[in-house]
Amino acid sequence: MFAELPLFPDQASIQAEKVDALFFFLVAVTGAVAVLVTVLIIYFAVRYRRRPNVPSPPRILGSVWLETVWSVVPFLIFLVMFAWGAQVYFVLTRPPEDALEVYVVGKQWMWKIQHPEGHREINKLHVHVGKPIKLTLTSEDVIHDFSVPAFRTKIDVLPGRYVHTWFRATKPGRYHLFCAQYCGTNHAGMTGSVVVMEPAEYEQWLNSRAEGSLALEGRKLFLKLQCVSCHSADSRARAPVLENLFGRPVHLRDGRTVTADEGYIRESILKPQAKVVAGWEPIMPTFEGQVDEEDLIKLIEYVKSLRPGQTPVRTEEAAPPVQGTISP
Amino acid sequence: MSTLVAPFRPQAVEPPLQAPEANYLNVAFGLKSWLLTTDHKRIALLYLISVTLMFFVGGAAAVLIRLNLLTPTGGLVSADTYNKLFSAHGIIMVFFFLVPVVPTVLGNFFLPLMIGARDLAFPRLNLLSWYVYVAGAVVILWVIFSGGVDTGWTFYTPFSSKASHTSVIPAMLAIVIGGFSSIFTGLNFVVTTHRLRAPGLTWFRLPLFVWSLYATSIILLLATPVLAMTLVQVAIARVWGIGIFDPALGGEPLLFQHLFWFYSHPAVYIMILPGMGIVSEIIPCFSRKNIFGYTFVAFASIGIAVLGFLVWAHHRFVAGQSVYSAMIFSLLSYLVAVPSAIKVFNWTATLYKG
Repeated sequence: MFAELPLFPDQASIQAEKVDALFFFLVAVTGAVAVLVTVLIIYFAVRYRRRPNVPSPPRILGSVWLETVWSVVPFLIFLVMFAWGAQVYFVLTRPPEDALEVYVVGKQWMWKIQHPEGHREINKLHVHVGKPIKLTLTSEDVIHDFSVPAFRTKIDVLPGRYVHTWFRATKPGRYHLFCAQYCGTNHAGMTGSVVVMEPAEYEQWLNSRAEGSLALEGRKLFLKLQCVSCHSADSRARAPVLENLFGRPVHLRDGRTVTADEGYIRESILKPQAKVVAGWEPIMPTFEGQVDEEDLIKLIEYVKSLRPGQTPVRTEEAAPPVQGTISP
Repeated sequence: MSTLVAPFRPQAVEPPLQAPEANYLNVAFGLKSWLLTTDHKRIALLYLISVTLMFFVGGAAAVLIRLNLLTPTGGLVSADTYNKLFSAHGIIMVFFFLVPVVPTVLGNFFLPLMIGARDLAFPRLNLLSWYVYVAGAVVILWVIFSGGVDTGWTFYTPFSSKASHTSVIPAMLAIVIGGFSSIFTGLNFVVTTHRLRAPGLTWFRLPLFVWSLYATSIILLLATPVLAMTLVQVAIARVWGIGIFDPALGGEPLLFQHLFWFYSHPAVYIMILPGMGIVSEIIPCFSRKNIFGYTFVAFASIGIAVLGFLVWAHHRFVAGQSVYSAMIFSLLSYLVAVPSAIKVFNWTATLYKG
C-alpha cells in the first residue's frame, strides 16, 4: 500500500519489499516516540506555564524506576529492530543457489556488464523478471557503488576484489542505475538503467545479440595465455588440473584450506604465490598486467564451467610461462 | 529518589549583581591586547569570530552548490568545480566549524565560570590552540582558492591516494594542523575539569554542560590523533606510491575507511554532545527546577563518548565488509542510541511541573 505513496521510489524487487517493511516499521516506532515526546513537551509547557500566584516548582530530582523503564524498554525495541534488520541484511547478502550470474566491472565513469551467455552491455543491464540475479562486481580503479533504488540494491564496488549482491525483480520496466560512491569528475554522470523484461521478451533479447559465451571466451584466453601448458590433464602436468574445481575446498602447501571461489581464482591468477596448492611447486608467474578485469571474469567463468575431461589438449608449440629454471 | 544528590538549588529570586568596574572587555584595548591574550573569554571571542568566518566560507560553497542545482544541467560551474565546492563545503563545515564551534566558543567561555576556576589550566596553550586553528584555516582557504580539492571530506582511498589530481596533500595538512587545535583544547578541558574545580564542587555537582564538554574533550583527545595518522598515511601513499590503501599495490582500501571512521564517527558526538549539554542546561533553567535524573544524564554523556568509539563501521554496511562484523556494529549502534534516548526522556520529565 505504501508503494503507492507519491514521491516514494518504485518497489520493483523482493528486496525492496523486505527493506520497505522494515523501513516503515522503523518510521512507525520512532514516529510514535517522537509524537509522544512532542505532545508531552507541549502539554507540560502549557500546563505548567508561569502564572501569578503559583508557588515555585517542586523539587523533583529523578526516579530510578522511571530511568530503568526508559532505558530497558527502548533497548528491547532496539533489539527487535536489530533482529529484523539483521535478518533482512542477511537475506540481501546471500544469493540463492539457482541465481543467474552477471558480472559488473565499474570504471571511471561507466559500468561494464557481462552476461555468462556472452552479452556485453555498457551502462545497461537486461534481466529476466522473477528470476534471481546474482551480481559479482569489481572495479578497475577507485571505489564505485552499484545502486538501483527501485530494487533497494546498493553495494560498494571495490578494486582488487569481488563483492556480491543479488536481487529478484518483480515488475517489468526500466529502472535507474546510479553510482552511489563519489568517484571523481563524472561521478554524477555514471548512471545507467536496468531493464526488467517479461520471459518472452528476454528470450528474444538473449537470442538476437548472442556472442561467444564468457566461458568460451575464457577458453580462448586459457589457450592463448598458455595456462593449458601446465594446467593440463596429462601425466607430466606441472600444475593442478582445474576440472570441477569451483566451489570445492583446496588444500594449500602451508596447511590451510580455502574454498575455490571467484576471489581465490582471481588471486591465483594475479598473485599465484599467495596460495599454492599442496603437492605443487610455486612456479606459476603472475599474470598481473596481462589480463584485465574483463579477462579475469572470462577465465573465472571458464574454470567454473570445466567438467571432468574437458581440459583442452596441451599443445607444445609455445613454451609454458614458467618462473625459475625448471626445464619442461 | 531521595538518594539522589541535588547539584544545586535554584533560587527563586537572585540578588541583582553589581557589575564590576573592569571586565574582560574593557580591561585593555588595542589589537595586541587581543592577539596576545590568555584570557579564556577573550580567546572564546577570537574563536567566535574565526569560526563564524569559516562558517560563511563553507556556507558560500553550499550556496554555489544549490545555485548550480537550480537547473537540471547545472550551467553555473563545471563538474570538477562542483566536486571541489562540495569538498570545500564538507571539509570546512566539519573540521573548521562543527567540531570546534561549541567547545572552543561556549566551552572556553563557560567552563572556567561553571567550575569556579579563574581560567583554563593552560591559558597559553589555549591561545596557541587558536593560532594553530587559524593556521589550519589559512592553509585550507589557500587550498580552496588556489585550485581546490575534489575528494569530498571523507578522502576515500584509492581515489584520494591515487586518482585525484587536486591539492589533496595540502588539504589534509590543513586538517592535521586544525586537528592539533582540537587536541590542545581537549587536553586543556580535561585537565581543567580534573584539577581546577572549586572546593566542594564534586563530580556529581558539576553542571551538565561541563559533563558533556568533558566527554567531548575525551573524544577530541583520543580520536583526533587517529585522523592525523590516517591522513599522513594517505599522504605517504600518494607521494611515494606505497600500497597502503591501493589494492593495485597490495593495499587495502577498506583499511582507510576503518581508520577514517574511527575518528569521524566519534567526531559526530563531538558535534552533538555539547549541544546536548546546552539543552541539559536550558531546560532546567527555564523550568526553574533541577534536571530530572542528573546522574543518568551525566553518565549518558560518558556512555555516548565510550560507545561512540565502538560503532565506526556502521557508516559502511554496504562497503564490502563481512556480514558478521556488520551485524556486530549494528548491534553496538543500537546500544549507543540508548543513552541518547535516556537524555531525551529526562529532558521531557524535567518539564513536568516545571
